[in-house]
Amino acid sequence: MDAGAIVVTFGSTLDAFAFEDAARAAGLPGRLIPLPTGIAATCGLAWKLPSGSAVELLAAVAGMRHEGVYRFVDNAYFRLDA
Amino acid sequence: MIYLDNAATSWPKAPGVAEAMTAALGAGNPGRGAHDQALDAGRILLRVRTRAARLFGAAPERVILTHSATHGLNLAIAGLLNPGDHAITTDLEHNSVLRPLYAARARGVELTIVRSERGVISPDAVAAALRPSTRLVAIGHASNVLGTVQPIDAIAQLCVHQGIHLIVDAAQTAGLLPLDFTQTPLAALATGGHKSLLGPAGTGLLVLGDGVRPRPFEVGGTGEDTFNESMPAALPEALEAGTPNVPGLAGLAASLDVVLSAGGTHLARALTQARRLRDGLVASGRFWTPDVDADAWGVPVVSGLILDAAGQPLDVADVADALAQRGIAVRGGFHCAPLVHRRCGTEASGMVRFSPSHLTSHADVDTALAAVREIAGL
Repeated sequence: MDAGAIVVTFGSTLDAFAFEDAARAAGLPGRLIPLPTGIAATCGLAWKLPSGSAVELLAAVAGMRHEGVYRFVDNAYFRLDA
Repeated sequence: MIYLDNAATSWPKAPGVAEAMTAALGAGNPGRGAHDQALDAGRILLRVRTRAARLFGAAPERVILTHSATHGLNLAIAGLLNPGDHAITTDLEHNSVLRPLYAARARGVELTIVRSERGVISPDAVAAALRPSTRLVAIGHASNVLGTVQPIDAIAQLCVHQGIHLIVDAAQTAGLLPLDFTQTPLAALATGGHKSLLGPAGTGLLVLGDGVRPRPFEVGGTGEDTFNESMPAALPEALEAGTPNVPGLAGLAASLDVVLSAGGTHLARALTQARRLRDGLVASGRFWTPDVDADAWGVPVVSGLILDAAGQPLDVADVADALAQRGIAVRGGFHCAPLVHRRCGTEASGMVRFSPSHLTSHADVDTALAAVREIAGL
């Protein structure tokens, strides 16, 4: 994972794809990736925003259905919205 | 071929279905991985859910993807009933409703079968069957033999006021008649994708009302929550174990686009031809059809018996075969609805069922009527 990347997690696979739809419509950058095991040791999908994404993007994320938002720093994921 | 068996499955399928299915053969396993193929498959599932949600007025997460109406009905009926509960159904039902209820009865559920009158179930008859232990009413939106449409709105109001789940088998109406969860308080609606939704066989939808949560009918892999010994908590995946029929669902997404664009016009066109067919059969003097409430007849299904010169019914299998030999597809038999035949007195003979679609032409009906007259010896 790229240092500084922001990762959005979901409560269901449907939510991940619905988020992708909404993100594309809103012009939010990023893509679906396998859920990093550093966030949860399970299968699933997550949305990765590019490294260096502006914090303002988090406001857009907040308006879309998701479970958690994490930033990858120092080889670990820190939850931003807890 | 003149295809008059759309109540069994529609033909031809909607434009774009075959192409979408062929393209989806290159898709992966949805929710299992994040490479392009897997993501393409997940997007196909999302397309089906969002379109079905629009058609039925429900949230996408409450659209459960099944492989048939029967699958959805099993899921809802088995997942909502417990031993000691009482369930109500009707004598108009397909075995897709009856057999899951008989299986529930074998597990300790009490079952009442309400009697129809001229093809219609009265809300009062349902009300009279209610008990304090009634948990569920399961009813078809329209009879697959008689073509009569049931007063679902009134029955739904009756059920919701008593906290009873109403499960609707919409196999014969989805894509033809509106049924909207925002207007009608249903617990669940089940349909296949391959009849008037114009999609491929092997697809289906179970749409759940708010707060309705059946137990999983099947458990297994979902692509998420791996170490959970139970199914994941969130809908829809909580009720979808195993790899879905991605090519079939791609076809269903394409057909749902066609159905949504049609905006309800398919029913009027199909009924026009069904009426011409029914009137022509009756006018021949060689057709017997059950007496049903004309005001309730509302889907393009015409069933009955073809009579010989002496007024005796011809074997329905012979009639269906004779029509098939003339390039006309109908169904002769019992249509998986045993109690309808008992009610109509046709449990020994069955009926011949003609079911046109929005694509049936005047000429198709005229040719079918001429063939029937010939088979009847006119």
